[in-house]
Amino acid sequence: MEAAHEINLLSILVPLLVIVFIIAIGVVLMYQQFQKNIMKQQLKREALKNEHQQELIQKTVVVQEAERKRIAQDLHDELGAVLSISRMQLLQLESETHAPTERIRPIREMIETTLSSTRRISHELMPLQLEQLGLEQALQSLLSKAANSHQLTTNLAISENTSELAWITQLGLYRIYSELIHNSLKHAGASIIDISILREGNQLYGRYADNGRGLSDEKADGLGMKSLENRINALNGHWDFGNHSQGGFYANIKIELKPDQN
Amino acid sequence: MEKYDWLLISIYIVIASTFILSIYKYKYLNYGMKYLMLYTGISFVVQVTSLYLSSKRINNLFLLHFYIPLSLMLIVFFYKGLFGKTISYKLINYMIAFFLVFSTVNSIWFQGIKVFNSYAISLYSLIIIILSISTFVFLLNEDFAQERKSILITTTWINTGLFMYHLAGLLLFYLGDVLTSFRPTHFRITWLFHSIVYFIQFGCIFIGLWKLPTKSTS
Repeated sequence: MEAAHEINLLSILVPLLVIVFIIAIGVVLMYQQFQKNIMKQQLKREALKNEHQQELIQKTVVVQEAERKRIAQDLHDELGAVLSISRMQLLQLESETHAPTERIRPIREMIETTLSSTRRISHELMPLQLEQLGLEQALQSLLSKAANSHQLTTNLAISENTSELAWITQLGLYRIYSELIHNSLKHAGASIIDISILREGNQLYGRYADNGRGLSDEKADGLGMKSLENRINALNGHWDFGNHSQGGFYANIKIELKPDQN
Repeated sequence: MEKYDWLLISIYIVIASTFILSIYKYKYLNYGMKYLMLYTGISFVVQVTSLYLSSKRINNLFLLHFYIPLSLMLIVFFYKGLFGKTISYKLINYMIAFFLVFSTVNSIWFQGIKVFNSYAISLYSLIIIILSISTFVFLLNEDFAQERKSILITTTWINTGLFMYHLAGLLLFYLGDVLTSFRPTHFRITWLFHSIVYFIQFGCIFIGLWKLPTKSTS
């Protein structure tokens, strides 16, 4: 004889539902943890990737500048030297009484033009003044040359401690400002240029402003501005730029100096 | 039960084969799979010991009181190795610590070592089910699956085996009382079913280890 048992459906289903609920809660909590940690790992990977890219850009700039320096030196030491000697020999030949001066003079003038171009190219590749006198003098010299060739009023303010910056940082800043000056003169037709560079501890603040035509939208997205942005990024900096409401272009640069940039 | 002796024998064969295969592939096992190898070995030893004690008419239920906490630790370490940094190690360690305390308290004060420790087994199954379902969900994430590409097939087989056995086990322990209240012979059916899913568990682990690539592991 079998005992009859009452089946209480609720007493079976309710605990079963509780178990399913506990499992569901457990899985959801695990998944939340998982999502959080996956995001963290992804962010870490992105940051590492950016760091590597930054390092690559910096190394590329350093190698580029080293190569320019080498070429500038070779131009100055080898080509410049040979042209100088040739010029001096021609001068000596011109001074001789029986020399055909009307034939020698054009040759001498061509050599002088070539020598001048060589010096200009060499200087553009690697500004000697920057190496010898520092950033402030090099920028002053650049602005003076610009003022001599154009009707230009320039203002330059640099804090003294910028002379302690690493060579590559000073060179980077020089290139950035010389490009900005070139743009102001060639494209914007500016008559006033203001430059300031202030260093506070590990922060460097640079400012540039002119009273020219301003920057068009097309030029803002152009290769020139991209190249400037790359130079600033290579110095571990960022910038913002635009047009003044009263007209003219401005750029604010902020660089966070790393120990090797000091 | 003699007609089901073939099932018992096949269970021993599959557990032993899995353990031997894991030793053979030892150098290709990653951190987590080494714990699974230990789990297989300990399962075999416990099964054989349990059979021996049963043949001598000695109560063998005390074995479960040691086997269950040890199994949980080993299986959770397997999952810890699989999850890597995607799940905090603290959570895993707290899970193990909590279960060990629960199991010990249960064995001392609630279900003594000569009694079937259904509470501990239920919680144990619950934890493993949560971990195995979570694994299935995590494997849907591209980055997670990509990092474990070389052991993806192995992991899926092993996880499936663990999931199926522990889910079936939980339902069996839960519904076992209800079923046997109808007819006592249903008790045999529930334990037969348990043996089948136990066999399937180790069968899946065996297949997973068989498919483990022997070039490199992640």
